[in-house]
Amino acid sequence: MSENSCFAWTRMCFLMMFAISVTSQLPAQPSISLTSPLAVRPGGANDVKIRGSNLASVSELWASFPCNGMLTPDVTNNGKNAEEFTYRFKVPATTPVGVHAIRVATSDGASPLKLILIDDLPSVAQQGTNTSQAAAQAVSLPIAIDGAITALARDHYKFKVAAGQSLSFEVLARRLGSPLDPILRVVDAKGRELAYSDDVPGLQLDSRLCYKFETSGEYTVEVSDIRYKGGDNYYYRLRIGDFPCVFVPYPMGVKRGSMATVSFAGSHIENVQPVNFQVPADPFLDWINMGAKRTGGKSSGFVTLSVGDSDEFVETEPNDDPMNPNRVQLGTNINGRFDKASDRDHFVVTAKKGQKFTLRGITRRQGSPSAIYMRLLNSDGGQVAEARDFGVVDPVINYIFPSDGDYTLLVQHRDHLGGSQYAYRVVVRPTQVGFTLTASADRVNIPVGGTASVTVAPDRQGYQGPITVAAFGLPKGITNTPTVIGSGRPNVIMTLIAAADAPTGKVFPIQITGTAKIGDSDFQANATLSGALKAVFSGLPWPPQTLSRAVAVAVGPKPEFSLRIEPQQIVFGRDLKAIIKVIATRDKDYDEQITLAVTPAHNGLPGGISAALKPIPKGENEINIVFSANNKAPLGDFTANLTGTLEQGKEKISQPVPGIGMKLQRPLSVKAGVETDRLMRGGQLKVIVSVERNPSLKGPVVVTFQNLPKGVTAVAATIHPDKNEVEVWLTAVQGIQEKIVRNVTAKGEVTVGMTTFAATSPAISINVE
Amino acid sequence: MWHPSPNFWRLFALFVLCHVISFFARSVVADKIAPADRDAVFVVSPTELFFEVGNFELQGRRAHQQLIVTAKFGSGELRDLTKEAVYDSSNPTVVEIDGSIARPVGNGSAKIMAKVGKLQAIVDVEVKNFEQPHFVSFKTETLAALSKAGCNAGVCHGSPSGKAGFRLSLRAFDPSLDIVTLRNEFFSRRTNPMNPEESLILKKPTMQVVHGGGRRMKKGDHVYNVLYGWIREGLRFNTDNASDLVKTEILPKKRVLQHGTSQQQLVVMGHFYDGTIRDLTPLTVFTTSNASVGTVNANGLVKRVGRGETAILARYVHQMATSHITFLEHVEGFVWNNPKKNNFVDKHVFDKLKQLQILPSDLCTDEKFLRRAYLDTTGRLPKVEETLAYLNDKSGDKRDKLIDRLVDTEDFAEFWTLKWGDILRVNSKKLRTAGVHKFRRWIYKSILNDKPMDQMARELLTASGSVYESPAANYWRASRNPNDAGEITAQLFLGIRIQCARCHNHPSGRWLQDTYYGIAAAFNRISRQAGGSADEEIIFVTKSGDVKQPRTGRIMKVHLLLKGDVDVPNEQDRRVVFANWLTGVENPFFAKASVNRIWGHLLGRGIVEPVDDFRDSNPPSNKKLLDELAVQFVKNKFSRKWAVRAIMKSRTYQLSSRKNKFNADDEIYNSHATIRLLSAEQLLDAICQVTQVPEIFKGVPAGMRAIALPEPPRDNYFLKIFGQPQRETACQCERSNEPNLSQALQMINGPVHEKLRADNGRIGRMVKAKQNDEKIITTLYLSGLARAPVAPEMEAAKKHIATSKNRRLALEDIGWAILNSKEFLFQH
Repeated sequence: MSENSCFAWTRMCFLMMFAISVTSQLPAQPSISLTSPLAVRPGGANDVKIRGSNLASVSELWASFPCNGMLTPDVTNNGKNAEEFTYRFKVPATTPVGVHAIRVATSDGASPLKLILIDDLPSVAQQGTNTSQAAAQAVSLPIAIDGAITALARDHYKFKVAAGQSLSFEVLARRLGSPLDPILRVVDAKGRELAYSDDVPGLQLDSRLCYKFETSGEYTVEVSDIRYKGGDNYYYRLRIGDFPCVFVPYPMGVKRGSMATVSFAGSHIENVQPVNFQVPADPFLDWINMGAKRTGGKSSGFVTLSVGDSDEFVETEPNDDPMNPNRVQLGTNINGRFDKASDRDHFVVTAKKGQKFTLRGITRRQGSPSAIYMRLLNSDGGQVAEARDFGVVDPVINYIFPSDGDYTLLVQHRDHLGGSQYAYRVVVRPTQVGFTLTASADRVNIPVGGTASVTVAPDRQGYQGPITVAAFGLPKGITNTPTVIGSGRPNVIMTLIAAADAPTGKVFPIQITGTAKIGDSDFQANATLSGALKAVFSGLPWPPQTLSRAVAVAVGPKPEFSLRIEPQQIVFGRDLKAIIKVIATRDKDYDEQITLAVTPAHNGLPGGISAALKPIPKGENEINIVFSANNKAPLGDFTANLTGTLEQGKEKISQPVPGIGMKLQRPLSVKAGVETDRLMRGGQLKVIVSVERNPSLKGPVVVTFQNLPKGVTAVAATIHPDKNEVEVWLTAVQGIQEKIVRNVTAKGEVTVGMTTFAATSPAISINVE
Repeated sequence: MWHPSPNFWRLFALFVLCHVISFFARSVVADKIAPADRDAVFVVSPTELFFEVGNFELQGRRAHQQLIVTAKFGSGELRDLTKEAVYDSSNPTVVEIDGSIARPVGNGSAKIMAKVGKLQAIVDVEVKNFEQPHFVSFKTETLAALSKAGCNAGVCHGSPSGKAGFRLSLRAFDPSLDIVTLRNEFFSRRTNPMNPEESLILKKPTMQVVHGGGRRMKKGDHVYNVLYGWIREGLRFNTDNASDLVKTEILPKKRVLQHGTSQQQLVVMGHFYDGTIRDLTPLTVFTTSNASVGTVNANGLVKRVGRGETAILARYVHQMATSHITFLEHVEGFVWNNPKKNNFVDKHVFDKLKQLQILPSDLCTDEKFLRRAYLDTTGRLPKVEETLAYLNDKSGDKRDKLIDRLVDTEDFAEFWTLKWGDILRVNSKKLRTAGVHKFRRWIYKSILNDKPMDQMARELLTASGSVYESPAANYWRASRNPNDAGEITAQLFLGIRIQCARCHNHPSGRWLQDTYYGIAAAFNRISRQAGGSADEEIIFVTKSGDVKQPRTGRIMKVHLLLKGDVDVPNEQDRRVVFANWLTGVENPFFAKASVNRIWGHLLGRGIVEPVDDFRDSNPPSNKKLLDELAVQFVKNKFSRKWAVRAIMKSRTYQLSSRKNKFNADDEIYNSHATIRLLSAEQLLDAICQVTQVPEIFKGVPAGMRAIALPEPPRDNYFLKIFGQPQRETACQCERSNEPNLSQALQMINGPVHEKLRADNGRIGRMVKAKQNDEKIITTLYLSGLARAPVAPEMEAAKKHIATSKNRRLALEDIGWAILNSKEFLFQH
């Protein structure tokens, strides 16, 4: 069992589930709405109730953390209930605290990701109605409580503390994909508010506070949605313990394979010791989850550490004064911290004229509360570039150094805040022409024998050419159609095809990669899916970085109809047309017409290209679709997508047509060749004229010559539609003057209807002697 | 024959009940008494005579000086004897006296003597430059003359589109426009230097030609002469002898006029950039702040109308000066009863009352105090058990203890959060739903923890970051452009309504268009960007961006009132500079505006009223009190709770609303408590509390009080018609307290009716619990009026029940009558 794949049940179990799924004919894909508890604890067996829909035939559970697992035994009808099953996780004791995800697969496909916490606090569930202080639920500390807010309600938990005891309280809601916008109140026995927390910067609207209780006694902590919203999906995990309130490790990044010492940035972090460790050299390891615990503490805060290939520099104060900056080698990443309000950190790099660098600020992505304002200053102190951090995307400076010399990077908090938790990291890399890719979905469920699609969009950085997109890690029986993001195109839809024998009931993590030839180099980028995860996790601005590439493929039930095309690729060009045949395979009783539409509807085809779409008529199984390019259509490789939709009774079923490869070429090219350039007076010279036709261009090519010297003639020739070349003799008269002519060209013309396509060969030389 | 229906008898019974309650409620609403005798004669015997304007110069032949002669009496009283004095010039070839005006005759020195009886006063005069040409200054004289004649008033040619094709800038705020208009427009017929008398600017206001505005001047008037002279001299824009007017000064600045003194002459002196000081009285526009106390004529003569104080505003082009005149009267039978002073508030209030011969009302009863204190601090009525506990408390300091306790409650924080939520415009249209909740919570915490007012203002004004993570930044989400931000900030924290100055100089304040855009310049570099979460916005400050004065095109520096323009380096947040000044000790407005708001909330009327309209023409009713409150407020670290406690612990706050014959006319000097209708939220909460049937508001937990709502509900008709503001503006005035018919209908048939009849309500439950009539009646009185019924009330109520066929209905009638009584509806 791999570290990232939690388990595969026994074959018997799988087959049994499959049998159940077939007989019950579950039409819908599985989904997880809630886990109970919302966390698993390292070092033991954790029975977790997983609730959702279409869970009766679950055949695999995939987890982003190392674990072993199985359906919990001795639970009545466990695994047979569509709405829930109980699963026993066994997580290694060394697994650090952090946010992870699971998903399940059935014969109907894979579920979306569901976030789950690895937590060293014991879990307890909310019980009954604890919506008033009088009805507060008693809990023993340390503890983590999993609950859900009812609309217009507040949940209360009471606990006892000793005089002088400090406690940390934390609500994980948004960070676990809940729409709850929590507030946290600690009140005394009389209901007087002692501490309050709403949106803690860096926690993505979640709440956290630390409080020292002066007197012993019973207190209450209250959780609610600040807008008074609620419902079953407004779940939360309230952690109460002695954990430090950490945000990020410091430094926030380490070099792969190095020995590293990492401390923590946060508040209330007394007695939390730095960690020394050897960073793995694994080239695929980008992030490390870390727990932070006080010496002798019983619970952990958690952070995520970035792993990269560059050196990391850690700021040394004082560097507020531009005259006393930290000197950093250009290309080394910078880790800093705003120790006090209005702190100004200066870093000087020496650059050479023409060097191009990208400086990317990392804050909220990794959980830092900082919002940075980066300014690049020249040696005179004049600003040459700036970037502000708004917590939506990383702030970035792309800069070409105009001359040799020192440049200063000034980093400030955007709002002049400061404190030990306000750490940041600036990743400094040579600017590379290329692109990044994002995928539109965290999972692709492909009907067996059918197709499914995922949209891949590039963020181009100085490169506008074609990008070939492919999926890696696909199992046998699943393929992706050749897919190209054409030059300048904003996205492409990649189609995945599951063969009839493709394996069902399993989750296959895949990687979507784009490649391109840029200059003399091959460039490659893996697709991330932060946008897709944001949608899955109720608008969470920064989903866990460890999940940023977690695309999964699974195979679902056979579709009511499927579509294929012939040929896979069409070649045509400006003012030309090409035909593709769309062929349907229908289930019995699904004989209504299948309408075809370009996907996406807006800007789905490159400019100048149109498709004469027609439906596959009722009862028929194929149709020819003509693609046309006008005289402004681009040249190059593209992928086009169609979707077929069939409406049968009340059912409306759609299937993507496999991606249509489109190669747009010139209609005609002509070459002229001679064995020798010498043409004697009164003699003849053989010229072989060859043409390369666009496959969409039919008809004879009429060949003529241009720029022949006076006294040299050629008879007009025609290349038969079935041929690609013709011999033409040039004849020189006797009295012709000796001369070398270097610009003789052959011109080929094809006339189709009212349109004439012409091409001229490169020039040849003729030496008249 | 008419047979009354059973329904009639029910309504009749209700009428009788209401009448009974109203009769007793009248004990809290004092009747007016006859005004004091104003014609009494006061015998005077001055001991000293002096000129208000000391030695002076007269520069040029057109110079003049209004003389004011003041007599001092043994009691210290000062009286204007300008009219009665006899004047003499020691050298009539230098200066002559025209009535009470000194005019130059030739260069030289002279003395002017004023005589009243045996007393005399002497002043030295020097006449200079008599032989020099003395051209009329367009900026300081022509424009002043046009203002004096009312030509450039808002209702005349100073309106944005002018009148009858003639447009002047409002009150001469744009001299460049006016000179063009006067010189060049209308084929130059308005001003004719060749034949000045033919100028329309002279012929129309003297009605030689038909003038829609009527007669504005006469030939020979000072105004006429200035305009005539300016035209004759060739319509000069700049003259050699013209110097900019730096400031004006009005004399006397303050005067208390005793009974028998009916008038006071004022003089306005102009201080010019070249150091000269000139009499500007004839061209000054005078207005009074309180015409029921005193009027002022065009020559600056103030005449008594009644007892009290008035501020005379003297406006000369852009300069303002104010004279505070107090008219005292001998009130027959008035004897100062020297009421006990609880603190400095009482000292200043009582000093004023004593001076004006207004006798404060008695201390209110414990019942009234309890109800008043609860409503003013927490916005709710005391609960029955709270009322009983308080009334049974026999300790001498129970009022102070109650105040201390109430001010520290979460109810206090909720109620005052409502007040701040209104003026900080906490509504989802501006802030989105989550923003409303987070900003409201920030305000609530600030008030609960008594965040110092200066800190709260500074945090609001300099807030940056996510409107979620830094909720104070919602201030900048609501104020989306520098003009709006400047207006809101000035009104909220300075108590100044500066909106007028967006288009022209403030007509009744000292604020210029430059002032307006100078304040806006402090807020011009605020930018906004969408944040990572839904509806989240990030507020941040950039290093560039300027405000241009639209009329002059000038790039404005940050302007700090009464301090001037300041240079702020680009690296610095201009808001911080502004906020530091705003909350600094040199700013005279902030602390006063802050305590005045608190005073207004507690006393029903600000010392300056409206509470956010500080201006020269709207003086405080008790300047010393306001000054002292502000000083103490600063000393007490801008503590809101300190201010509330100090005011509420004063005897002034605790006075009865019942008037006596000596304070019947007083509505501004706090001689009695001000009666006012409960606010919309207070009233609805009170009805819910009495009936014990909560109002259900959409989107908030059941039982939430109306005053605790995060924003005004859009669908609550009751709150709307009782004047709940929608929080569109920062003006306190958005909360309406105008009575209307719908309010009466709501009280008769609306939620009152439904809640009284509810089975789960107080009456329903008490009936079900088999409580006797007396218990239920007493409980209703205690819950609604914070007092037990007096015997006639109990008797009337019992009688009504006895004569009704349905006991439950009869009890509901009693509840209805209580809720519709003035005693319930009003704060008193």
